[in-house]
Amino acid sequence: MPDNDIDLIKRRLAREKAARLQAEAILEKKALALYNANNQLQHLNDHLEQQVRDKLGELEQSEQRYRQLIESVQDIIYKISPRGYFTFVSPVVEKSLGYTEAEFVGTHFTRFVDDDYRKPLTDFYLAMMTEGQDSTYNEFPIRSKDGRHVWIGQTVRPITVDGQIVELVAVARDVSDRKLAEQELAKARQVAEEAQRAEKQFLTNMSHEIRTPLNAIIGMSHLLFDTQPTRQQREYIDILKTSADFLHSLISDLLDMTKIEAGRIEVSPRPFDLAGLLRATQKVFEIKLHNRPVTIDVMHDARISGDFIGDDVMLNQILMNLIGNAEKFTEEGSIQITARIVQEDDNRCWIEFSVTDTGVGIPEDKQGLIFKKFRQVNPQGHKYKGTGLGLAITKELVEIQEGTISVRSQNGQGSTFTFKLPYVRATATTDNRDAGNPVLKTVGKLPVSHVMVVEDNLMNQTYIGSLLTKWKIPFTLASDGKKAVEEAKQQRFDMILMDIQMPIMDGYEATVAIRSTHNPNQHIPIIALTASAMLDHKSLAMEVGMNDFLTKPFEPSQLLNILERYAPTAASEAAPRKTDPSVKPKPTLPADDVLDRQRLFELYGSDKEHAAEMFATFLDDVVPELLQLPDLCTDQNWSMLASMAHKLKPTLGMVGLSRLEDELRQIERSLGQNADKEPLVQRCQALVEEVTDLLPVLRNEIKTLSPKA
Amino acid sequence: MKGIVFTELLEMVEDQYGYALVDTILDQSNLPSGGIYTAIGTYDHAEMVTLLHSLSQHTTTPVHELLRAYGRYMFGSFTRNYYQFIERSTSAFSLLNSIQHYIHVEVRKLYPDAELPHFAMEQPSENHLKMYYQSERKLSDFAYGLIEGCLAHYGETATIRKTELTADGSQVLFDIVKD
Ligand code: HEM
Repeated sequence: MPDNDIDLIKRRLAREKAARLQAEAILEKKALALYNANNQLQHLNDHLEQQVRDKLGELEQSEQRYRQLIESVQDIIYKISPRGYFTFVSPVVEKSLGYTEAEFVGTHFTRFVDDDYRKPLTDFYLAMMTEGQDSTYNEFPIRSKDGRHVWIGQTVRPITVDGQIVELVAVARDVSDRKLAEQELAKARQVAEEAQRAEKQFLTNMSHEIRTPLNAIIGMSHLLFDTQPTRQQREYIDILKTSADFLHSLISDLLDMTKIEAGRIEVSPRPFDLAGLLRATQKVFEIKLHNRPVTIDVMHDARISGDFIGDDVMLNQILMNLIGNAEKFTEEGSIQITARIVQEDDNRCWIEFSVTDTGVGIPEDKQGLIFKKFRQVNPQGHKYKGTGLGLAITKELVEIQEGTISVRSQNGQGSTFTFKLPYVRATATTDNRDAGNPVLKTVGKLPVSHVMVVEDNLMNQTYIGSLLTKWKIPFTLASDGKKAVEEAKQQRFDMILMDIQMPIMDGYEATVAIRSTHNPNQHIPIIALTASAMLDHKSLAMEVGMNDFLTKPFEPSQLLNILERYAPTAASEAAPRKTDPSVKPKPTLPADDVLDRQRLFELYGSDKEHAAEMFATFLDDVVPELLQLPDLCTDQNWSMLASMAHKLKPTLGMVGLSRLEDELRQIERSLGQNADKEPLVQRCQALVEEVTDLLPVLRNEIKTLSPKA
Repeated sequence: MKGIVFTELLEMVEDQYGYALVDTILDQSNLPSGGIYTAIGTYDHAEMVTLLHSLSQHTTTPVHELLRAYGRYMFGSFTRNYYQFIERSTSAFSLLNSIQHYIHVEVRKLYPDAELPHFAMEQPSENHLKMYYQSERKLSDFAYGLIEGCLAHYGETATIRKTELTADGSQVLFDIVKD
């Protein structure tokens, strides 16, 4: 090997050795750096591990606390997957249901629920899953391990992650005790209601059982009067009737009071003609008082006109009680009924009614007692009979309607009962009275041609039958509701008198059947013959579509009044009466043949003074107006003629000129019908002539009535 | 500059010309490091310039050609020493595209004092790649060789057009269109 080659190798070796040393030095340095870095890393790692340990410890603690919490809570907390498998159940479950946690977790909920509840519970969970409701409560029974039914009440809440419901969390508790209590309560309530129903049924039956024979006694005593009894017999019948009447009112009052106390009387408001109700009430008592020196007057505020919404049945009852009371304690004098509006705003109209009598009065120290039950405050003791319930019932009836009642009285000077009730004025459109409700008729003659009497009781059949026969009104008898409905399909009646309590089909059902099916009597008046004075029966009667009611036992005059009121108007009569104006009535007819005596008696009874006054007014004020009618015809002032006819029509009735009143009604109607006006001129002329011819008869009547005569 | 660049250069010279030339240029160049290089060391970039000039004189080969050949040689050594960076790419373009954002990034993690160029890439079409080289060390010919080495490694051929964007050679565009 040449020298320079050896030198070259030597140099190369030297270089490589130097490079190795250099590299080693660098590596040494790097190794140290690496060692340090490692150390640091180790340190960091330790620190990190500690942190993780700490966090884990905290987590464990919080988990433990959370578990303790869950365990200490008596409620069962569970989680359930969207598919219905339990994913967590708090251990307390074992205590209340007997299953261990392990038996729950991973099991589908339907395993613990009876068949009946599977579907509703599945639906419940599904709704929670899909509808995203926040939290919902439900109750259902679960079967415990030992087979008991445990009622669970639970609040369930969905758990969402990124808007997706991932599971449901529920807090559930055993509500079996409460459920049991509820069930028992429901059972108890049912028993109580049953008892109440039974009691009510008993009362109704009792009332019927007692009243049916009583009605017969009262009815028969009325009929006995028509058998020409001797004076002594008449006296006995009188006592018989009075006692039966008393017994009847005693029973009615007792039953009413029982009902009021049981809270079973409810106010049923409907539109009614308040002024008309006052007039009707007056009339009932006028008839009752016809041979006693007691007059009855009604005065009402002119603003009381048109319909008011309220409970007319109750108002009627209150007035009947108060006026009945007044009448009982007034030997001679007057009973005055007033009604006035004391306060009216948009919603309500407060009407104050008063019933004043000139009777014996009530001593001041007793005035506080009169509205109390079973208190009679009359000085003459047994002379005035009563149950002692009438005023207490009246007070209740006023208060049920949110009204107030008070009394003012001076011993020996008479008493004034004042009560205030709220009503609502009916607007024209709220007048939803039955279409079949006929116009109130005040005419005395009875154009009733055929009545159906629906009554199961033989005695009552006889009583009503005799009365109708006496008044020459044909009638058909039906002995129960079903027969009545069949009869109603066969022929048309003018009116149906319908008993309520009957076998097979009662009066309410029969009315509903007649009103709701197509038959010739669908819209004719149906009058309830309530076997009781009980208010709820009357309300129900009106609700099912009856037009009015008559409480048994009734006086013949009460039935007559009803027949009059609901008799068909001439409009509904098929053939209009033909009047031949050329045939004039004889002006020389005796007054009894011209004047409607029955009507006059009903209007004035024995009050001759009042009657005389009315006759005088007629002659002075009405006749001059009547005489203008033919002129209005000639002038063709039809609207004026119509309003005059309307105004004057009732005044003819007031002086017993019922036939002329009818004639004027026909004239008025023809005017409304847009018919040929030509015959009207003649009819008015004829009417005026007839009135003129009758003037002497009327003047003579005043003379007969005047006390000086 | 990293020692590996020196040691690989000397390796290549020894391979092609024998250790005598290595000895000569190291001896004559009067280098601050005394010509002692280890791959893991770091040396002044100026020494590389000196060595290349000396080498150019002795081999009568221009510096740019030496650098280009060295680039090709270097890529071969990268495929052995840094295989993990290369195996991630399945084509030359994909590897070239990954220098700036992956390979040199990883290199800097290994050698925090490494002095690396900046590449801006543009690929107008699937077979067309534009590489904008930028470096104060002005070693674009080394890059040229590395690109060639890269194409050869994936068995691909392409036409490379080199354009100096600045007179000093610090900014150069390589327009590579695959055949
Ligand atoms: C596995 C692939 C690669 C590795 C491991 C790698 C690594 C390196 C290293 C260690 C240096 C030296 C840095 C210094 O001395 O401080 C360097 C420089 C360089 N690399 Fe890469 N490189 C790779 C691929 C490439 C490719 C494909 C190119 C092609 C364009 C490239 C272009 C360059 C250039 C031009 C330099 C010189 C420094 C400069 O110009 O500023 N490298 N590379």
